[in-house]
Amino acid sequence: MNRLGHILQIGLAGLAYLLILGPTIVVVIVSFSAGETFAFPPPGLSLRWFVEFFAADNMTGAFLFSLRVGATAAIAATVLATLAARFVVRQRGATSGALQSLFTAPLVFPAIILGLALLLFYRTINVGGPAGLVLAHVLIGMPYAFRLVLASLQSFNLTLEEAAQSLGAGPIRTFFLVTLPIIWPGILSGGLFAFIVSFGELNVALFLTGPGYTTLPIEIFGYLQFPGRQLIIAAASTMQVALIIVLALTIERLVGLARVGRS
Amino acid sequence: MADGAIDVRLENVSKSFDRVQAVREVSIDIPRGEFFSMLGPSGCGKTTTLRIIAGFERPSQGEVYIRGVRVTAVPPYRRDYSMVFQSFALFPHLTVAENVAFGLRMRRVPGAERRRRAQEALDMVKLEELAQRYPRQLSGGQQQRVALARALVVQPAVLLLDEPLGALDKKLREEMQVELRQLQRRLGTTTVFVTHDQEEALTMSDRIAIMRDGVIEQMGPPREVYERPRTEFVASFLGASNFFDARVIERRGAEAAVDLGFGRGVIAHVDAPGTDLRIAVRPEKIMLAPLGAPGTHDARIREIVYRGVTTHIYLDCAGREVIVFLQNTAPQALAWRIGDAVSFAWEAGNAVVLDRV
Repeated sequence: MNRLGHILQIGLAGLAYLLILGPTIVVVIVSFSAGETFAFPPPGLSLRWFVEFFAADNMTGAFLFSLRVGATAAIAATVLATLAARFVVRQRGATSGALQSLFTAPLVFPAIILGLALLLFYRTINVGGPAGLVLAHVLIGMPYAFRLVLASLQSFNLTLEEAAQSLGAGPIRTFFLVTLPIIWPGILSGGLFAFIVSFGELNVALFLTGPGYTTLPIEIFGYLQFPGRQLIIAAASTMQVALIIVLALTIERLVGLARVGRS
Repeated sequence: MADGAIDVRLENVSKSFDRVQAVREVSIDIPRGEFFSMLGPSGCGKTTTLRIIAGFERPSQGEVYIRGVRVTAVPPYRRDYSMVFQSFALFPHLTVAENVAFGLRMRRVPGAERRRRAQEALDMVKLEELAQRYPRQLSGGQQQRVALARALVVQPAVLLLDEPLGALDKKLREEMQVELRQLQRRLGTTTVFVTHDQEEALTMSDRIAIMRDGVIEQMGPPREVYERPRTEFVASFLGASNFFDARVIERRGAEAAVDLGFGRGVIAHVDAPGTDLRIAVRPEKIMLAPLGAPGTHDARIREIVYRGVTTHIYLDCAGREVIVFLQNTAPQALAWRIGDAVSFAWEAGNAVVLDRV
């Protein structure tokens, strides 16, 4: 009976993973197809779609642009999130709760509405182009970064900051010599999340991109609307997934090493 | 070191949190080299007072001076003090040597001198071999020493200690009390010590302030506050006491004959006016006497607690409880049995007249 329950549990978990990961895996496999159409299983294997991807200037351009937007937005979002989290962790009770809701509010807001709202807002204040897009991605990346930095600050012993101050360290030296070296895994994870959110973001980008500054998801979306060379999208998606996996593994390893080194 | 220099001065310091008054008009002068303790139950304001000296709390009113410099509005990192925290607060990402050198680094002491002084400080607390370890690899007692070395190495005007021995077990705590006190004497560092442990305060201090509800109830050398407590709170917080109501029958100078309700007694050092007094007598100052001797009171033994060094005897004297501590040096101390009829008495000078509050 117990054994049966165990098998059932593994089966259910497997099914859940299949549902979550299945579509992505199918796309990744299909990107190596030798054929012309989106067929699974693919008729044969080749790298032709990756060759096409790197040959298509608009695709590689969008890929690099997405990287730049993602990196800039992630850094800005993480810096802001760290400042916000540092403030929130020093508040008590109701103030803390209210501020936490405020800083995570962009999460609850439907992205498509946010995109439209930002477009109208930028028109009024006359901001546009890549800067507008980066600002928007800072906005949607910040809640993730905020949550992760806050979590690491909540387990950080604030007395350590007092100890540093009692030894003559001002607020800036206290942060860089004591707080940051201890909470950096949280900050790094927060930054990674903000980057991933920006890198795959479509809804807001739909409103805020334009000729000369198109992100990869927008480019992929554009391809979907026209017949022919559809599998280049699969290759683009595989590139996107690969990049995120590599980043996530690198950071996981860095953070893991830091934990091992200290415990 | 200049005699008579005041290293810490609090002038009418008060602090409120929301609607709670944590500290009320506290004034203290701590001369150079003194080991000064603030003692009291939790919530009495002792920690807040220490944090006001450290600059982590800003007083709602009053002024703070360190070595004659007014620091009331000066941030913690520009004040001349260092501190040992209850949780030690060692930096987990730095080695023991780096922890100790931290304050010197902040003061921009050059590398070579920094290393030498950090090493000396570690020698002083007998941890020279552990310099390259991380705090998590040390025992509680070792961490405590590192925290102490880290605070002392900067040669502060004032050393603040926030229940630094609270996290240690009893035996280690007693060892550290003696060690800390010897170190403090040798270096002559003015020290402000916060504790809720009365024995610790008595053992270590030059002077003790007993606090309650944000107010200093009494301040003085250990012997004075223990032997001549001024209030019932001080008498009961600092050790144990028997309290009696006494009605003055006759005064002879500073001595008075009193009616205790269960008999007559004599007390010395009566400066309080009036006829209704409240007096305290320490349990170890009460002697058991043969039955019916003149000037004694009759009672019956209700309970006997053997405590190794002492025996605590609980007497029933006409319905009221009287506690007596006997040293276990004399064989009589161990000869008493529950239910025995005894007489007790104390010397006139050992009864303390309390302030009526």
